[in-house]
Amino acid sequence: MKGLMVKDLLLMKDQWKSTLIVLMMGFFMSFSFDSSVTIMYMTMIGCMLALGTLAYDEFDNGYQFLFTLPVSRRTYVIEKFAVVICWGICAMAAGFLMSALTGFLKNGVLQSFSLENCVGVLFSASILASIMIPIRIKYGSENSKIVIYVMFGIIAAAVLAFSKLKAAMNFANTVGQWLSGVSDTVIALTLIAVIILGITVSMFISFRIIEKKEY
Amino acid sequence: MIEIKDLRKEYPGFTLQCSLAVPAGTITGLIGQNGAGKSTLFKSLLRLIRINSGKVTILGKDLSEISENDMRMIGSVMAESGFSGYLTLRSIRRIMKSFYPAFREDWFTAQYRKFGLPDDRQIREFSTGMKAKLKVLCALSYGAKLLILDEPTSGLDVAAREDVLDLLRAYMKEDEERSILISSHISKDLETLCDDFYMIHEGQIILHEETDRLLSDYAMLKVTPEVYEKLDKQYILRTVQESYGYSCLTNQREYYQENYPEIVVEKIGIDEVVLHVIRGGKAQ
Repeated sequence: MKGLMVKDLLLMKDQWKSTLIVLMMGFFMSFSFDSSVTIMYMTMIGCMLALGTLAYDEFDNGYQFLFTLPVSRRTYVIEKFAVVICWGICAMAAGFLMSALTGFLKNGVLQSFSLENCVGVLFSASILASIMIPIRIKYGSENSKIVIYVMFGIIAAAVLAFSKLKAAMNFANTVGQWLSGVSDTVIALTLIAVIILGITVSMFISFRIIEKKEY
Repeated sequence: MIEIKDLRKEYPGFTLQCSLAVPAGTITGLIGQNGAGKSTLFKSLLRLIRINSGKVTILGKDLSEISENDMRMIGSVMAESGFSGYLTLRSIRRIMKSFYPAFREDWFTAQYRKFGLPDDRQIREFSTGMKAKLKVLCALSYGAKLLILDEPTSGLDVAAREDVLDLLRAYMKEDEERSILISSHISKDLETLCDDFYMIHEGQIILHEETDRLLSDYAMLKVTPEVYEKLDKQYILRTVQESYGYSCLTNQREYYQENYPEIVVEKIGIDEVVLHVIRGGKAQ
């Protein structure tokens, strides 16, 4: 595991130019947009950079070599989730820092952020990781793009259908009334439970995929 | 070190079915044409592919029981893969240190400097020969008990090939219990390195012989059709029809030299044996 972590960190270190651009973009965004947009942007881009290590591993039959090292396939999957989550959290922290700093520069006060804000961002990042890791392992970086386009197409269609249904059933009001009765802490804890469940399920799916693959 | 019994791996249109053994303290060569099944065999040993049936034991353990720790005792080179091309040698040194507690950093650094490999350039900028050297150095850098090397000298010039072979000889001298299973399409490499070799053709092992015996006892008999008719064929392994008559492969050179002083008996190397075994038919 340690060797894989070191490899991924060194690969990401070599992407310092991309990281710098992301940081600068985030910084400029924090002046123009709401802090939640900046934080979400930073977290998602951070996760995407970490997910990029899967493409590096694939390059030049890399998997074939990787699995001749003292690394089991399960360890590889666990390490990928760990790297993406850690990198996402680091990027989120950078997003918070930037938003706080620009808030201070603009208004002269340090902006505070709620736990719910953090959990919401983490929830989105975990969905991204839980979907992308098994798909990338199964289809490879190139083919997974097609799968992801198709999947997002299906999600967009589902959202459209749901929004029409919602309008017809006055769903927003019903859900809004129900949610207003639930405390923010309960919602945050529920989301954390969903994040853990989603990652666990995705990890087991990834185990099955990678153990069936031949390199 | 390695024991393979009735390994079977099926693909559409190709089946690998073989048994072989690599005892402790030996260097075993695997030779065969492209597509003969060498890489499939190596991949099976390294668990990169799943075998359909058979029993494979490595370092005294069944293949399914090999742990991450056991993998630290195996060094490998795969012909068409290596560390990500986006890494530099300096990064690889750090990664190897993290993967292998027994990594010999000073030795590794000294060797890559000796080979003239730059440590600040990405691997993808390396030439084929430089990549080949790096792969061998990585496999040798942590004192593995067993080396599984698929075409480790591929892409190297004569001098660099000799350097790599010297490294392998030195590796064996350090510990007499170590073993190597190596494939190469350059038979000269195997002749000077291996204790024995297996020849694989269309997924089957068709010959297993000790290198010394092959080089001393195997020979090519060149005979006219008339002589061929009268020839004792009990030690003829393969026969190929030629413009002058027949060339016959034997593993009893002295027998024919003593009993048929009039025929041409040529000493041969692995290449000629491979060609004859593949092209030739059984003596009639």
